[in-house]
Amino acid sequence: MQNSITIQHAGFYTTIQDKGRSGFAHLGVPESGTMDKKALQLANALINNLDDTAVIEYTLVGPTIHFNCDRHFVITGGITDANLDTQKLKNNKVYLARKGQLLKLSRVIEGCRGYLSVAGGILSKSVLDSRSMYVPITQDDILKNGMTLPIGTSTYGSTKGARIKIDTITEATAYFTKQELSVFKGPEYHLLESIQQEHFKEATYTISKLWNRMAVQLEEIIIHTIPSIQTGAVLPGTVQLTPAGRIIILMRDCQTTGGYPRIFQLSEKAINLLAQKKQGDSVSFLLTD
Amino acid sequence: MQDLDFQTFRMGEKSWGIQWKCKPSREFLQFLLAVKKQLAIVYTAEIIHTYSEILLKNIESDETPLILEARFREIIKTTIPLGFQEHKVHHVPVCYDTVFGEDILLLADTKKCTIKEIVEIHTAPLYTVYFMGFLPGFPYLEGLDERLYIERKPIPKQKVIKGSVAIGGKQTGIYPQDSPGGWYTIGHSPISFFDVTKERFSPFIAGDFIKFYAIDSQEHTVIQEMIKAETFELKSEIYAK
Repeated sequence: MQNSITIQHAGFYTTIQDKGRSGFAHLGVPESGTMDKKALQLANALINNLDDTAVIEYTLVGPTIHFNCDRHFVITGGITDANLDTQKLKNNKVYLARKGQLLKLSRVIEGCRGYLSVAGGILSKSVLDSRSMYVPITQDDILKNGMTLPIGTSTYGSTKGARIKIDTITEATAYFTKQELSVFKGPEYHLLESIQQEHFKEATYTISKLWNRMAVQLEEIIIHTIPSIQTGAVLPGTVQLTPAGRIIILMRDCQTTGGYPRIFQLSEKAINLLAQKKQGDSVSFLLTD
Repeated sequence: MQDLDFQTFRMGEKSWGIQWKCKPSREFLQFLLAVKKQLAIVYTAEIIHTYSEILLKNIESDETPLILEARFREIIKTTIPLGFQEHKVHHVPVCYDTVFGEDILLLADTKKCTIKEIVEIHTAPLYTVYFMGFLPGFPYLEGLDERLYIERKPIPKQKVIKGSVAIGGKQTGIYPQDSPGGWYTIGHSPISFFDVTKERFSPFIAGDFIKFYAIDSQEHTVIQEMIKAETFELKSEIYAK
């Protein structure tokens, strides 16, 4: 039988993700991929996987996973209360799970999204060159209790010098504690009045209850008179201003086109940072353009 | 046609856009497609277009913004029209029965006309598939008769079902999957408009034409059965002027 892991409890919102899909935007297919790309990169580097290898992304409360074979794994991203049977685990450190052992990823203590990368990666079905879950591209939208996932062949430890060690958590995760999102001007930034442009420099915003893989909406309302635009292209990290004054920051599963003015575009770093923020957290915009 | 009244803009670290001021038209779409083709020769990027914009996503280039802008200008200036392009006309069956088109009565009331008139107006044009976006396989169609223009609903509906044919603003389109939506649903097509298990995920490409034709609920059921049995084929032919 192929090597695998089994999801005993799926956790709050757990998916398979990799770098996502490119080349299908002209069909209206979202990019998807891990919300935090930095954590994906680190997870795969630590375990000597190729950088596009699929990992498990979990949100606030992680999954409980049964190993059906011996396998190295690593946890990155949000600092997670994690145990392998009774052994307490740290982020960004490679461990070996033995066949039959149970990995329990409980609460994300710091940040919002955690990543589990197993050596060899998750080998779920690849659709349009990616394993990232998104209905109707993939059959399932989230992992469910009892699912067994095939995993690939480990190359951990096989290459000399492939092992990377990160001793301090701060080094790999310092970015979550920041609240400044570095942004570029969006194509409709110039439609803002100068008083509004100034306001964006000063103000702090709160993440509303509408935050998911598609978009993060902020609590505060900006009174403005900018009309809707003719439908244009949008990207993960595009900041839209709705006619009602809502600020919507598009994330990895966002649609490919939209009709709201695009006032900012988040830097790649800022998208990764926002991926680690949750409802009630504060953010501000730092215009770098 | 060739339109040199455009601006370039940046979208973050790796993407660039080109924006024109003009109104969408079939002629302009042909120009956009020609520019896209030209850009693709010069740059490695995912190049998409909408009504009056081209976006080069994740462009691989070391050029400075100033040089990029100058080169875009040069490329657009020297773009040669595509000439005659072979495009298909797809005949899409739509059941405008109120069972499916739950907002058609509301639309008829607002427009002070009959359902029959709405169906006539909606099935008359040869719509152009301008681009796809919003949902996988959702075609933005150009050519809606202005008598059917209607402001989008103030509060989107939680679930518009797959296959719904709808009108919003100056646009009409088909929902390829269940989705929240703020458009007025006027009918339903039993066809599947996006399927990754098929060789061609979407039956349409930008520049193709769509002609809707009305079917009753019985025909709708028959086509649905035929699709299940994989015996139904969307009727299409090469567009001839």
